[in-house]
Amino acid sequence: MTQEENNLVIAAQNGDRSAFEELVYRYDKNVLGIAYSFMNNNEDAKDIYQEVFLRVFKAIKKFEFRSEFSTWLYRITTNVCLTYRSQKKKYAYISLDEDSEEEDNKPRSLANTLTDDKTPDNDALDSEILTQIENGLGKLSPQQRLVFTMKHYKGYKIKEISTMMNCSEGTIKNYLFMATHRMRNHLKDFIDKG
Amino acid sequence: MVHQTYKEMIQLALLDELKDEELNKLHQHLMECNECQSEYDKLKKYYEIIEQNKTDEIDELFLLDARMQFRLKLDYDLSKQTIVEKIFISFRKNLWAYKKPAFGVAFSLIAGLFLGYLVFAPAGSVTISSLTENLGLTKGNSEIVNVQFVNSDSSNGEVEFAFDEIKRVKMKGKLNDPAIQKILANALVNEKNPGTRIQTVNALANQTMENNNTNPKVKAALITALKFDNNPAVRLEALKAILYLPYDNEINESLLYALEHDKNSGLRIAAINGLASAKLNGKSLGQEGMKVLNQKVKNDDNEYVRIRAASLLKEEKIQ
Repeated sequence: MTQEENNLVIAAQNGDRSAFEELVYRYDKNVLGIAYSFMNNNEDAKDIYQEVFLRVFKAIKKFEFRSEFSTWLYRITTNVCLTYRSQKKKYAYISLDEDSEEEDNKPRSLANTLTDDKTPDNDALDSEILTQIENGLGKLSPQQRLVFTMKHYKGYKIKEISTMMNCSEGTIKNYLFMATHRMRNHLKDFIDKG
Repeated sequence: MVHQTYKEMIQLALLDELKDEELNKLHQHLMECNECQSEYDKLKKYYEIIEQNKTDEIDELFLLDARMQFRLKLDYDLSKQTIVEKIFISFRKNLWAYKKPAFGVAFSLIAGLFLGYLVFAPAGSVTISSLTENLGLTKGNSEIVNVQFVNSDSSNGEVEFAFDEIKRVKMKGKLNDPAIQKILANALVNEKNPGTRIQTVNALANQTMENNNTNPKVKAALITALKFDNNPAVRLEALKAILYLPYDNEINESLLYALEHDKNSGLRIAAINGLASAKLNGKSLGQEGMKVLNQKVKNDDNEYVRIRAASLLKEEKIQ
C-alpha cells in the first residue's frame, strides 16, 4: 500500500468523505466486476456493491493496516457475495431449462447483459453454450461459484483468492476442481464436439 | 504419482498455477500417458469454451450508475441517524473540546464550596453541644453576650475574657424522644421566661399524662419546678404533671414539700389533694407525711388545707 493510499485511509478514518470516495473509486470497478460475475445480474451486482462499500464506510475506523487495504476490501467483497447469494437462494434453483413466462425475473445471460450489441442473429451454438454455463454456475455452491468467477472471469491467482476468502490454497484448489468437474459435465456435449 | 494427481496438475497448468519444475514433470508424463494426454486435450477445450464466453469488463455507465446509487444510499443512511446518535457522535468527536469547560466548571464548583466553607463554617473555638449536633439541628447565627474580662491588664498586648455564645437553634421532634425531653427538662429548670417554662411544663404534662413518662430527668425537672420555681403557675402545672407519674417516695416527698413550704394556698390545696388521691389508692404518706399533716392541721392559714389535713391524718392513724 502506498503512502498516498495510507493517507487516504487515515483521512477516511477521521471522517473525510472525499478521501473515502477516492478510495472507493480506486477499487470499485473491480468490486462491481466480481459482484456482477458472481451474481450475473445488474441489480444484484449493484446491491452487493452498495453493501460492500457501506460496510467499508462503517468499519474503516477499525482498519488497523495489518493487511493491504485492497485485501481487506476484497475480503469484505467475497463475504458479502457469499452472504448475498445465501440470502437469495432463488438463484440456486433457477434453471433456464424450466419454462417461465416471467422473463423479467430471469437472470439475464452473461453475454446479453454486458454486450448489448448481441442480436438474435448470433450463433445458436454460442447461445446454447452460454445457457449451459449459466445453468452449471447456478448449481455450484456459493464458494465454488465464487472461486470459479474469481479465477476464470477475473483472473486472480489461487493464492490471491485464498487471501480474499481467508481460506488455504488447498481449499481454494478443491473448490476449483469441484467447480471444474461439474461445469465439464454441463458442457460435455460441446467439449466432445470439439 | 496417480493419474488423478496429474489430472489436477493439468488443471493447474492450464490456469498457469504450476511451478516450472512441476510443469516439466507434467509434460514428461503427458508424453508417456495417453489417458492423461486425452484429459489434457478435453480440459484445454473446456477452458477455451469458458474463456470464449467469459464476461466482458463492465462498462462505465454501469459503474457510474452503481456509484450514484451508492452515494444516495450512503447519504440516506447517514441522515437516518437519530438525534441521539448524532449528539453522541458529535460529543465523541469533540470530546477533548468539551473536556476543558467541563473541568473548568467542576473546578469552579469545588473551589466555591471550599471558599463557602471557609467563610461560613463555625470557628474552631465555637462549639455547640454534642446533643444538638447529633440531632441535626438547624444552625442559626450566634450571638456573643455577657462578655467578662478574666484579666483586664492588657499592658503586655494580650487580653483574656470569657463570653456566652448564644446560637439560635430550631428543632422539631417527638415528645417521647429522650433527647427532646432532655432539652425541655433543662428548659423547665433554667429558662428565665416564665411563659416558656409554663409551655414547657404543659408539654411535659401532656406527655407524662399520655405515656406515664418515667424519664428520670423529666421527673427530676418537674419536681424541681414544683419545689423551687418562683412562678406559681409553673409550680402548679409541674404538680399536675407529677400526679400523672407513678407514685413513689420522691413524688410523695415533693408533694409534702409543696404542702409544707409553698406560700400559694392553691398550690398547697393541689398538693394535699394529690396526697389524698394517693392515700385513696392505698399509698402510705409515711412518718414525714404525718408530721407535715399535723403541722398543717395546726397552723395552715387555709381552712380547706387544715380540714383536709385533719381528715388525712385521721385516715392514716386508722390504718
